Amino acid sequence: MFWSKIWFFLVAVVAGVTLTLALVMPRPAERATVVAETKRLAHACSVTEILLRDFAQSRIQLAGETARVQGVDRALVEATRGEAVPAGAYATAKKILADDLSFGTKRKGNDVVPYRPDLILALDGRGRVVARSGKDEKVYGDSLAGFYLVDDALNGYLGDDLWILGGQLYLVAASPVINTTDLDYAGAMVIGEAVDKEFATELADKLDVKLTFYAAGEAVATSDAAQLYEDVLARAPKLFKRAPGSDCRAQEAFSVSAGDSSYWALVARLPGEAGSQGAFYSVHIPQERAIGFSGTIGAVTKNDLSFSHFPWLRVAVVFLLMVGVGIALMIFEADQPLRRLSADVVVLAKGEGERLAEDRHRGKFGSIARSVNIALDKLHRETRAAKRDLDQLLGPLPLEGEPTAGSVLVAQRHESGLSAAFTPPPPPPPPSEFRFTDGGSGVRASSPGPVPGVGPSFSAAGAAQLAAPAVPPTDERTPPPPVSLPPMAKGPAGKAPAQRPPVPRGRLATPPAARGPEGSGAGPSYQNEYPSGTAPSGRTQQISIEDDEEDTVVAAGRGPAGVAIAGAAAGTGSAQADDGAQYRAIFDEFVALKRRCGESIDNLTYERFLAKLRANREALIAKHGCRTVKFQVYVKDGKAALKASPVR
Amino acid sequence: MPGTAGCSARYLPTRRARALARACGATAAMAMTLCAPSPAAADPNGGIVTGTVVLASAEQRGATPVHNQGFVRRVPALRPPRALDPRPQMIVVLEGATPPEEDRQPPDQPARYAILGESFETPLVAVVVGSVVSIHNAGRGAPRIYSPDQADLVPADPISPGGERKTRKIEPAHRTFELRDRESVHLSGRIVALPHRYFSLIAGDGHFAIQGVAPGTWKVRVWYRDGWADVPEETVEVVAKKESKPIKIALPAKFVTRPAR
Repeated sequence: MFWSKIWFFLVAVVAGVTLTLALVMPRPAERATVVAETKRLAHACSVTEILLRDFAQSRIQLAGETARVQGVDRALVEATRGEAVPAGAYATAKKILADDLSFGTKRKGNDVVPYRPDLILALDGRGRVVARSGKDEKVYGDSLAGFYLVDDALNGYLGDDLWILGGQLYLVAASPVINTTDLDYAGAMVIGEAVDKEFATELADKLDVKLTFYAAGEAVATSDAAQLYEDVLARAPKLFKRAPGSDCRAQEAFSVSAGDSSYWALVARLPGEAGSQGAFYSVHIPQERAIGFSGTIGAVTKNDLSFSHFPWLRVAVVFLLMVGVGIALMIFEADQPLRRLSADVVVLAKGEGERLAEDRHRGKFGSIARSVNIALDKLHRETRAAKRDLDQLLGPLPLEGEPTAGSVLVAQRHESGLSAAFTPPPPPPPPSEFRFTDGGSGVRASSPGPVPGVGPSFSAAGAAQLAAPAVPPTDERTPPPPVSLPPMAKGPAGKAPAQRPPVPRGRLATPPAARGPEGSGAGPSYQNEYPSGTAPSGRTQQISIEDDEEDTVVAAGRGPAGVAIAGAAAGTGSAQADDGAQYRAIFDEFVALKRRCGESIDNLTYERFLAKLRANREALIAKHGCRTVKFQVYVKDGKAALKASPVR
Repeated sequence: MPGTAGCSARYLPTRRARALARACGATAAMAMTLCAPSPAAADPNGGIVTGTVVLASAEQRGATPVHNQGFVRRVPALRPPRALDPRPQMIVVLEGATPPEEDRQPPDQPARYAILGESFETPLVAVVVGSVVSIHNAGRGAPRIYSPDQADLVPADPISPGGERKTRKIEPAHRTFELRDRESVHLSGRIVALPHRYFSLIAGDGHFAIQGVAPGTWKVRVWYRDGWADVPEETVEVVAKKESKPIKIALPAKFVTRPAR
C-alpha cells in the first residue's frame, strides 16, 4: 500500500495545486484587465486632447476665412470710428453674418448637415461687438476687449481659447480682420463652439469612452448620464500638481462610483482662460466587475470548451493516466495480496492446509497470516495439552480415527471402567474458534463449519475440561506445557501436513440427543430440584467446558427438553461426606438409564464411578473456580450419557 | 514685482486708450483730460506741463506678451502684428518740488474707475493718496472684484451691471493695488496712490498734459505698473498760468522698474 498512498498523495497535491490555480487565476486576469482599461483610458484621454487641438486648428482656420469675407472690414472700421457702435455698422455686419458666411457641412450620425458655429462675433477695433450670431445675437455694442484672445486678435494674431460665458464652456477661435483699404487691423472675428452634450457625445463616440467637461466647479457637458461629478470634482484638484498639458500621461486613473456602478476615470486640464479657472475634462469607462472563480466559470462559453480552444485530449490522457496508475497500484498492492490471502484462508478452512504461507504475503497481509498462524499454533498446543489431560483422566484416547469424547461422557456399552464407559459422540466439526456463549443461542462457532458430529476430528476441548484436575488453578493463565506434536503429514506439495492433530474449529459437541427422538418423551423424565441458587438462571445447563486461558464461561444451552435426567449435586467442598448419597443417586440413575437403553452394566461399579466423578468434580472446581459441579444423566444417541457442569 | 521684471514682459495692450485718444480728435492734453479718471481740481493759476512719450521702434519693442494659450499657439495674421505698447500702463508724474497743501489732499468725490465689459477702462489708474475709488460696472456681467494686495479693499459681493463699489482709502503713497475678478482671468486693473495730483495718463498717441502745476522746477518721472520706470529723467520749469516747453520722454525698448522708497 505504500506506493498507493504515495500516489494518492501526489494526486491530492496535484488536485490541490489545480484548485489553487483555479482560484488564483482570476486575480491576475483582473489585474491585466485593470491595466488594459487604464491604458485604454490614458489613450482615450490623449486622443481627446489631440482631437480638441485639431478642432481648435480647424476653428482658427474657419475664423480666418470668416475674417476675409468681403464687407466685414468696412463695417468694423465704421464701427470703430464711433463712440458707440453705429446701427448701420451693426446692420451691415449682421447681414454678412447671416447671409454671406458659409461654414460648410458636418456629419451628424449618418447625415450630412450644414455646419454653423454656435457663436460668431464681429468685433471692431476697440473690441466692441458690432454684430453677433448665435447666443444673444440681438445684442451689440458691448466690449469684449480684455479677453486675451480678443486682445491678441486685435493685435494681429490668430489663436484659440476656451471661454466660460454664462456658465457655458465655449471653444473659441479668433482672427484679426484686416482693412483692405489701409491694410491696418480693423477688428476681429470670433467663432465659438459650445461644449454641450451633443459635442461631448460626438467626441466620446469616436473614442468609445464616456466624456464629461467640467468648468466653474460643475459639469457643463457630459456624454453619459452617470452621476460621477461630485467624486470627480472632489478628487480632480488634488491630481493637478504638474504643469498643464501632460495630465493624460502623468495622471493615474482612479475609481469612482455612481450608484452600483464603478468607473475608471482620468482627468486632464483644459487650456486657455477656462483652464485657468479650473476647467477640465474627464474620460471614464465602466469597470469590469471582479468576477472571481465562480464568475469566471459562469463566463465560460460553449466555444471555450470546444476542441479548438480546450486541450481535451491532453486532459483526458492525464486523467486516464492518473486513474490507471491508481487502479494499478491498488490491484498490485491491495487486491492481489488480499486475493492470495483469501485463497490461502479458504485452503486452510478446507483443511487442505495447516498454516498460512506467510512468505507469500507481504506487508499487512503477511502480518495477518503470521497472526493467524500464531493463533493456530497456540490452539494446537492447547489441544495437545487437553488431550494429554484427558488421557490422564479417562485413560488413553481411542486410536486416531475412532470417535473420541468431547464434553459429554458417553457410557460405552462394551468397555470396562468409566473411561471405557464413556463413548464420545460422533466427532464434531473442527471449530474455528472456541467460545462459551449463552445457552439461549447455543454454542456457536464463528465460522460456518460442518454439521456437528460429522467433522473429521473430535473436539478435545470439552474433554480437556473434564480432564482438567491435573492442572492447578494457578496454571489457568499460564500456557500449557509444551507437547510434542505428532508428525504432520506432508501435503502433495510437501509443504502442508496431510494429517494433523485435531484442532477444535467448530462449535463444541452438542448432544444431538437433546433434540433427538430419544429425548422427545420416549423415556422417563427425571427432574432433580436444584438447591436454592445452584442452578444457573434456573435453566438446565449443558456442560461444554473448555480450558481457555482468557476465560471460562458456562454456556447456557437449552435444556434436555424433558428427556434428560437432570441430576444435581450441589454443595461445598466440606460437604463431601454428603456426596455419597447424591453420587449414588446419580449412579443409580445412570445405571437405570443404561439398562433402559439396553446397554451393558457389567463393568460399571459404583466405586469407580464415584472416584471418577469426584476426581472430575475436583478438577472442574479447581479449573473454573466454580462452587460445585452438577452432573446430569441423559440419553445420547440411544445411549446413556453423563455430563458435568460447573455451578458458580 | 516692482523693479525686478523687465518691461517687455509686463506691457499690456493699449488699443483702447489709443483708440479713445484718436476718437477724441483733440490735443493730447484734452484727450487725457477726457479719458483719465477724475483727479483733484486743478489750480487755475498753475502752469501746464505737456509732453510726449515716444516708443522705440516696433522691431525693438517686440511682440505683445502671451498671457494665455489655447490648444494651439497663436500665429500672426497675414499682416505683421502690432508691437508692444506699454504706455497705457504708464503714468507721468512730476516730482522734485513741494506741491501746495491743497494739491496733496484727496478729492472730495471718489475717483471713478469703470469696467467696460471684460476690462477696466485703463489698465492703470492713479489717485491722490487717501482717495476713495468708485468702481463702476459699465459692462453686462457681474464681476466680483477683489484685491490680492489687500483683502478688504473692495467689497466682495458682485457688482451688477450699472452698479458700483467704493474702495477703502487708497494709501499709502507709491503703492499699487491690483484689482481682479473672481469670475474671470483676464479682468484686471491697478490703482496707484501718489502723494499729489501732478500726474497724468498717456494718450494713445503718446501725449500727456498736467494742469495746475505749482510753479517751480519739476522732474518728470514715469510710473509703470508697480514702480518707477527706469527711463531718463526730464526736468521741466513750470511757470504760473503758462504751458511749459513740451517734454519728450523716449522710452527704451526694454527697461526695468524700481520700487518707490
